[in-house]
Amino acid sequence: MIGWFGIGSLVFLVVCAIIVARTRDLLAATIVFAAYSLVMAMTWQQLRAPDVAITEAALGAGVTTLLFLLAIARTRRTEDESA
Amino acid sequence: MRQLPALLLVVAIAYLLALALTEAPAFGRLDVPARNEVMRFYVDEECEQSGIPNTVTAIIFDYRGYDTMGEATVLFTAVGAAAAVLAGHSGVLAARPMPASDDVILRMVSRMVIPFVQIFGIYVIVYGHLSPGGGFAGGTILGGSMALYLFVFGPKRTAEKLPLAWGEIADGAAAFWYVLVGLGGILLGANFLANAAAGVPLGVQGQLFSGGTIWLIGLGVGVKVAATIINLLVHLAGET
Repeated sequence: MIGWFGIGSLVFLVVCAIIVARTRDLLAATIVFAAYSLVMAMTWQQLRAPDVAITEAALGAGVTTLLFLLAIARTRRTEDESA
Repeated sequence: MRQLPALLLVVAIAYLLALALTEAPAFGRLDVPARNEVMRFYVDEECEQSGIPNTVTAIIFDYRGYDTMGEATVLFTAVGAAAAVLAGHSGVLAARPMPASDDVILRMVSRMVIPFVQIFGIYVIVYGHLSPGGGFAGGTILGGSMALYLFVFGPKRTAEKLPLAWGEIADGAAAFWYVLVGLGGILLGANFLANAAAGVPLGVQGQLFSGGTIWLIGLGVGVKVAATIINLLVHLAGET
């Protein structure tokens, strides 16, 4: 069964998800999303799915973050207030 | 008060999800629905049939090899679509390419870290049949290392090390390689992508060169994913 480490990770994931949805600063949201992916990878490992954990760490925390960063660098950093 | 319906909807969905969670079987229990005859077949027969200890890789590259070929084609299509969309703006992107970083710490650290990341990515690809990982995970790590180079040293120096044409050739060649390995199964008198059924020698289980076509397909998928990632980012960074 999930121990205290697992419960802490899940709470961290929920908090990260809410921050990503709420923040207007896209760069900050991207960094928080990377932290989300990293803790998610640890959770996969705790659930004994090491294949998924490696892919999550590389794709979620690495490449997705880079893709978002590049998209932000090519556009604007903050979300439009009127949207 | 416009947010009230949304709030009610969120609360209702959260209640239903929590309800479903209390009904879910505990982690690691033997009577979970996933533990059916399909799962038992893979756990009992996989090592004998495909000759590799990592059941996940065996399912991805051997039992469900045809599905994985479709997934590799999805990546190919994604890069093609991105290139097609960005080609309309190539003048705008190339006129303002992403600048290289002038941060000394960033440049020195990435210069030291990138070789190790690449070695790890290659390790995850070629040992995908023995340890966790495989073509997709390893290819992502390899592509990520090249993406780090692109971010720190800019698109110009990246194009000197790895011209976009090479990346595109690697992308297409790896997709073609997958089909070639599959056609090999037909040439040997069995089905498309057949492995042990076509008489491919499986080798000694646990050694690096074992598992027949799984190793070859994993290598191709690793190259393909790495090329896809770096091509996509190079297109966005403005070196078209």
